[in-house]
Amino acid sequence: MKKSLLHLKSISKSFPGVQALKDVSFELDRGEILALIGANGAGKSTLMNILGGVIQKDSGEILINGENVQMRNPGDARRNGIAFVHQELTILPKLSILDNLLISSFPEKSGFIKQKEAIQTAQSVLERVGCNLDINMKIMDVGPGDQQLIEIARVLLFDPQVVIFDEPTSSLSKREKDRLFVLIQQLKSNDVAVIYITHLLEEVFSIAEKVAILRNGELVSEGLLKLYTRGKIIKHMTGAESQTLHKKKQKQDQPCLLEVSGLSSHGLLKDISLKLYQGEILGLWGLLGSGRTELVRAIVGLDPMDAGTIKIRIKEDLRVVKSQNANRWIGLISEDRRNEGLFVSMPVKVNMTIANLKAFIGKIWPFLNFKAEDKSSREYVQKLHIVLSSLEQKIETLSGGNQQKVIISRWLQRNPIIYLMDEPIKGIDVGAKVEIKNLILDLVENGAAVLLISSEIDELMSICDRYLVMCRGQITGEYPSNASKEKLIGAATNLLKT
Amino acid sequence: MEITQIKTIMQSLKSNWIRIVPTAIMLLVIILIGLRVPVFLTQRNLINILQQSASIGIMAIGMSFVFFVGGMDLSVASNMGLSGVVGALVMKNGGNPVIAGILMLLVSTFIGSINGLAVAKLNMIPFVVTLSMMYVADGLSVWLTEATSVTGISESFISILTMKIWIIPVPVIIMLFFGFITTMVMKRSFLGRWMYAVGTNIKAARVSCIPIEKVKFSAYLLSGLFAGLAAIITTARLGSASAAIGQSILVLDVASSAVVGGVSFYGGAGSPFGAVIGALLITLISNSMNMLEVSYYVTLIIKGFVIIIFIGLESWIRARNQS
Amino acid sequence: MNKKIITISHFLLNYGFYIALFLLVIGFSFGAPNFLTAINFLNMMHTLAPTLIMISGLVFVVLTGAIDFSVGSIAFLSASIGTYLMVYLDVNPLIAVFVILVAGSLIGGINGLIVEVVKVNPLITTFGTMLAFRGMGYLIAGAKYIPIPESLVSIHDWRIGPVYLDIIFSVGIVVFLFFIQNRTIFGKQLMALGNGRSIAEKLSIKVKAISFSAFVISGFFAALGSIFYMAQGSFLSPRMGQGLEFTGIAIVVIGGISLFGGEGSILGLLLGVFTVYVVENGLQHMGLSPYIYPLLRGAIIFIAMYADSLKTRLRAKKLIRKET
Repeated sequence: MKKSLLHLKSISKSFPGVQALKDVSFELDRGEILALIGANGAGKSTLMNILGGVIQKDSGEILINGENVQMRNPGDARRNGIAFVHQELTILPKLSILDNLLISSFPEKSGFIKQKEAIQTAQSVLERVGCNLDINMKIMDVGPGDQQLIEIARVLLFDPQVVIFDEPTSSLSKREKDRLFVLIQQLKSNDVAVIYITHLLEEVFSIAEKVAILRNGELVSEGLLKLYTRGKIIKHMTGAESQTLHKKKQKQDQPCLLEVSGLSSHGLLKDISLKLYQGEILGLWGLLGSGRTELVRAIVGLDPMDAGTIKIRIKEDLRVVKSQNANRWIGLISEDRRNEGLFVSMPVKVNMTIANLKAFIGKIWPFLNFKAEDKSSREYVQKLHIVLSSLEQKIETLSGGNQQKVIISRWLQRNPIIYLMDEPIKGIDVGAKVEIKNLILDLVENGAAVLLISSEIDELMSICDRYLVMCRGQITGEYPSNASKEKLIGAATNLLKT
Repeated sequence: MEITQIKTIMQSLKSNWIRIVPTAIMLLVIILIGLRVPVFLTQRNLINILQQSASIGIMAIGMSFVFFVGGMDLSVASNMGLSGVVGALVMKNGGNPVIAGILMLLVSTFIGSINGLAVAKLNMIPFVVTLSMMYVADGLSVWLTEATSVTGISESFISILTMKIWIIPVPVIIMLFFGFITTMVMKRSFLGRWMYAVGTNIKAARVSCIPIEKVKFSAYLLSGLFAGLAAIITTARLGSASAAIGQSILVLDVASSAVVGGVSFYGGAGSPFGAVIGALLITLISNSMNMLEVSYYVTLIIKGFVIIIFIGLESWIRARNQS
Repeated sequence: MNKKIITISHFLLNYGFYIALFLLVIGFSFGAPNFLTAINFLNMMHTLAPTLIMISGLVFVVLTGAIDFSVGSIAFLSASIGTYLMVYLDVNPLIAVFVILVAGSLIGGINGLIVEVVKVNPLITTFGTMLAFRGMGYLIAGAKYIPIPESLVSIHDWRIGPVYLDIIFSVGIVVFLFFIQNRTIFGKQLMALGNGRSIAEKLSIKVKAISFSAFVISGFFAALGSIFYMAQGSFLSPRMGQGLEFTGIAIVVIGGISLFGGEGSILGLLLGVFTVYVVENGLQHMGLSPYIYPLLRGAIIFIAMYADSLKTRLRAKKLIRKET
């Protein structure tokens, strides 16, 4: 039997607290194009990082042409003919295209570069990928599409047998995407195998011949693409239909508290418009990279907006607000708790009251009334069942769930009418999850509005009243509370027909 | 005290040991020196030390604000020099000493405000901004004085600022007073919390509705202000002003004072009073080296390495905590 | 409209300097007829040759995105060691020269070690070692002027025709280092490091070794320059290298080498030195008070550094716009 080019056998990998990959196996032959599909956290990146030598597997084998190989580092992967084009480009911005191409592979003799040969090599590989830019240009002066092409050219210099593309089209124009697909076809005709990671199903149907679908770290299905329909793939991605635990009547006639129109930012978000009504939990769903986090950050001014308006209901009227000021009425619970939410080295008490200090100013300005601050903090500790031994202990000593509760109470104090919560229950224990969900329900019961982002679609579906789905920086669908999981995932894998 | 309070103090000691140990070592060394050279611990010498530390201590208070928000101010010494020169020139030409003093503060605060604008509003890197300001201020001093000392400081100016209340010189009282007040404000007011927050985690601070630009600007403004205050007492003490009083070595002394006094170079921790204590310790080193007849040069070496060690320790701990 | 403003600023920041320089040269030529003569120029290069050599290595450190304030002190310390050997121990000047060079490299290595192993920020490190090294130098040689052997002093006068050898040597070094920067793997990796430490690491570049080497090189050339400096004055001067942390960085920044790292060519040093000449000599010829020099230098550095920062900021803005 002819040995396949690449054979992943029973690859397993776990991280503290989570089994990222369980017994994943598949084969790939020369010249085959395989699409690796899966929802967030399904394990696609983990699997490819193992193949690319970025992380180590716990068990299983990687066979290349029948031989068992060890991938201890990216260098090993390269030597074994595996090339990985990451989603985040590794470019050296101020250096020339030539330097970027050859930085790890300059033709040299005892440390001195053979300039003529270098120029020739660079130009020929650029030609190969269809790029005709001047190699002396600084790479930061070219667009992201061309930069990616150069990165691809760089990996081709090592004559790989397998090229892995991780979400390659996220910043490409249509023309550049077509160019990429032509390039992939070229690779195929040169007997190079391609693994294409994506969640955009229409791309899968344009370019791939085989598919492998991961869900929760397991390979749930694989085979020739022609045996699959779009619906079948989605079903494999999502698994069994889950119960919607919480059915709520759609709240009509409630005032709109937040209105966003035409928001564009950073080349990612394109013309986003949404409305958030009092008393509702609006679920914002989408896959990694769809722009959900970027959207909420742009609304509160953490990222600059290129276009669009934000209106907030102030004193019975919707008024235009500058995003930098929006945090007066909007509480943001950030996804990256450690880097954007917590003041890690500071006590719990400080973390709790930091957004609301003006309320605790004592008799002599600017000094704070410590007693009042303590009292208030203790109230919140009780209300949210935060587990700690002292208000003065450093917040980093609290568990994830309790940290999250502290951040939530930071905003509760200010009593904003709008909450934007980005992954509020990620990485915390089950008990705390339930408590926070109930908290959110309480909030909207008392007249606030919550925009909720979560990658755990089941959690999202258990409390939301309405859904907005994003894909590639655009809103691709709005659904009522009784929408099916399939519909939601379908909308997340589908660009609007523009 | 409740058990929880004791626990918290123990915890605080445990995580701060890295700051306490080197300082304790220094104190130990100083005591040992005192035993060896008895004149070291006399009242006269100690008062002397206090006096010498006043200028650095006051600048260190200003510098600590900039450290709190995660920046740095390399221009404090040149700022002090320039402000002193300006005020001295006014007095030399017959101006009122009170006006001169106010002018010193105005000039120094103005310089601080330029730094503040560049860092807070234009988002430039503190190192670049304050380094270039240092060169400009230095150059201005040299130009204005034509590289000579400015004398002719009015008598009243000198006498008020060099007199002693009981046995403690006025500048020292000023230093201790401001050190105390500013520490109270930092620890007990919302302004202080805001500063610590900006230095600890600027993104979280932005999300928490803290006016980051205003906070950073104020820090540099204060640094400038205190440089001016230092100019006043230094000019009075020396009875003259010159471009030389603001040499670059002084900046290192000021930074060392802050760092040794527990103010984190990376931001978010420490207190202005700690910086004052640090200034005392640094001056103690200089003085004790003197007493021991250690050459000025060795003192330079020691000072150079002290700051490297302190910040190195902190870097190391941070790196360890992050992994 | 916004785009236009950015383009104009971009142009100004990149080329404004050359325009200003050009205008200055013209202006001074009118004001002082002796200004732009070859003799004047050669004299200037002769005086500045030691400084140029001393800061050649510094450029490598700046290219990696770090800084070295201690070059002046390293020069002084290395020279002190050499002088001590020659004057008090009667060592052959040739051997002393060798020792000076080795010393400079090792001392530079100390900086490298503190930055890479102890992991202290280069700014603090070299500010501290600036003091410490000078202190050590004073310990060895005292704080006085020490005359050095005639054989060494004579190199100052060597020339080929009208051109002094040290000019050729210093320019040659710059050209040689330019070659290293552009045509060796080491040079490319150095530039890569300056473009982003984590990116360079991902590209399997040994960043620690390269950063360390840059500091060693900085120390080496500081020491090499000190030899010429001593020959120039025929003394070991206790003021050697003082202010170099000032002048040196000014020349580097003016020469287009960004303090942020990864950008600029060593040849820029020649431009920087030329600018310093234009400003100072020109003013001297016009009879301006010498006390204004530090201020002007300060102002130039101020503008150069602000321009460097602004350039980087505008670039970031431009990138964002490109993606829309």
